[in-house]
Amino acid sequence: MSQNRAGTLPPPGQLIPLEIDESAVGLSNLFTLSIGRKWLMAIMGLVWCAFIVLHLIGNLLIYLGPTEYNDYSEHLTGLGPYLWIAEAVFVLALLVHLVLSIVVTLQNWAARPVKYRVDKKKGGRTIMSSTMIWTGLVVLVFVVLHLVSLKFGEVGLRDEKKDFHGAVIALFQNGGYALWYVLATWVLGLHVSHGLQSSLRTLGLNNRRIEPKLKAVSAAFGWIVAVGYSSIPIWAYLFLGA
Amino acid sequence: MSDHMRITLRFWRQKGPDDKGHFETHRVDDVSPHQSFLEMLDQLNDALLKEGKEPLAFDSDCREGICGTCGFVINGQAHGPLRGVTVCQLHMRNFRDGDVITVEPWRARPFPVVKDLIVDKRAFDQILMAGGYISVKTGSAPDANAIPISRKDAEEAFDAAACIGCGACVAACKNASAMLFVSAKVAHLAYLPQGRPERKRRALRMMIAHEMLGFGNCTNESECEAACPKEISVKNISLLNREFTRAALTQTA
Repeated sequence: MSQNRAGTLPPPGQLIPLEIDESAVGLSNLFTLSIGRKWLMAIMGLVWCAFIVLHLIGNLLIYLGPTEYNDYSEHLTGLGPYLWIAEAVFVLALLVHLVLSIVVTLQNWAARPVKYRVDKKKGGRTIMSSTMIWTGLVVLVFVVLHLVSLKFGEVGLRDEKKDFHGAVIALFQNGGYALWYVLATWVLGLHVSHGLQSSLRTLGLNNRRIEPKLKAVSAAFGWIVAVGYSSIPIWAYLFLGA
Repeated sequence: MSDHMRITLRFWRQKGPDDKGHFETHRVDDVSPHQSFLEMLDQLNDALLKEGKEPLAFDSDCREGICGTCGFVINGQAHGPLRGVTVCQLHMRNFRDGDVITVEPWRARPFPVVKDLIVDKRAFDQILMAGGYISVKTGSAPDANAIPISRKDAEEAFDAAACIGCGACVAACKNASAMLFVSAKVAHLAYLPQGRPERKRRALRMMIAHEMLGFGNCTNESECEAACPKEISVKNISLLNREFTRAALTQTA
């Protein structure tokens, strides 16, 4: 759909109107257009923000003690088909978010074939906003490894009537493993601190009144995610060692 | 004069659209802090001509910050270090004696370099031709206040209409997206009753044009707002997102 104009300039003073047919645009082909792709990405991102909140609340039950935590994990696995449906929704959302983000990023790189020699921000850019694709890929690797070890692995959540509390704490006695969890969850915090406000803007939720709050809320969400999740490996490693 | 400065300029040289281009360095002595950046470039060109070299090509017209013709990247920032001004309103007092200043054209696939610092910004005109207008009978001026418009809407529309189409938003965006430009042009009509009959068509067609021309996708980092000499707010981009999505989801329903 793109028109490469590099090197081929129309004659001076000449303006060529583009041939545009907007009549076919609808929900079924929304992803073929820039805002449509980002709209889907935003919704999938928000689905994952919801997951992150639910998962964090569940995780923090670990501080209440083995009984409460094991009851929670048992209850969760006991949901059976309902859990599978929810899992399928989250996996699908992640895949759509991932594929669209790669498409969008490649297009964005292509839009600037010659880079600047000097590139300096003027106020808008942040570490978070300029590294979304990289923080996102780190989170992807983390999610896969996390599922392998804590869902499908030896200490997996699949077996019922198991001391999941003890298994998690045992896992974080490995310093390197605990450190990787801390780093990965902080990267997740960076990702969502830009992602939350960006997705809300993409969905059109912004005006001059909401604007300053939007950034603050999004930053606070990032901090809660980073501190909340990483507190568990830090606590387990530092205070529950043998 | 003792307050005069010595500036080393590292600027982009490109013979034409097909040339690869390169950087060239030249020192400009005797720069007054009261000079504008463009006057300093005029002085550079005088020196280049005296040396028998080709002058540096750059765009400018009104030189009072209202036409949108000038603009290039100075030390990595569109229109230079100040907020809310174009290059022509940037003065040398914002730099120091002995500074090395890097000057580059806007970098974006839809803005091919014509020569040196001049880029072809006709992609913006093509976006406007796609729908950035209203279809009305022109001729005699309508009666003032014949259509009541609230003060708030008038102010919002006017803020968006302040866009001069200079291209700094595209230059500053890490994705070379023109969403701030499109959003300003959509918003200044969307706030007014005259713009409403064609709002769906306008949002869809302008965004399709934006994509056909090869601009990138907005990732909401707001660097465009910081670089905009008219300080157009990114809330217009949210409005454009609303306008576009509403149009896409309701036009066939």
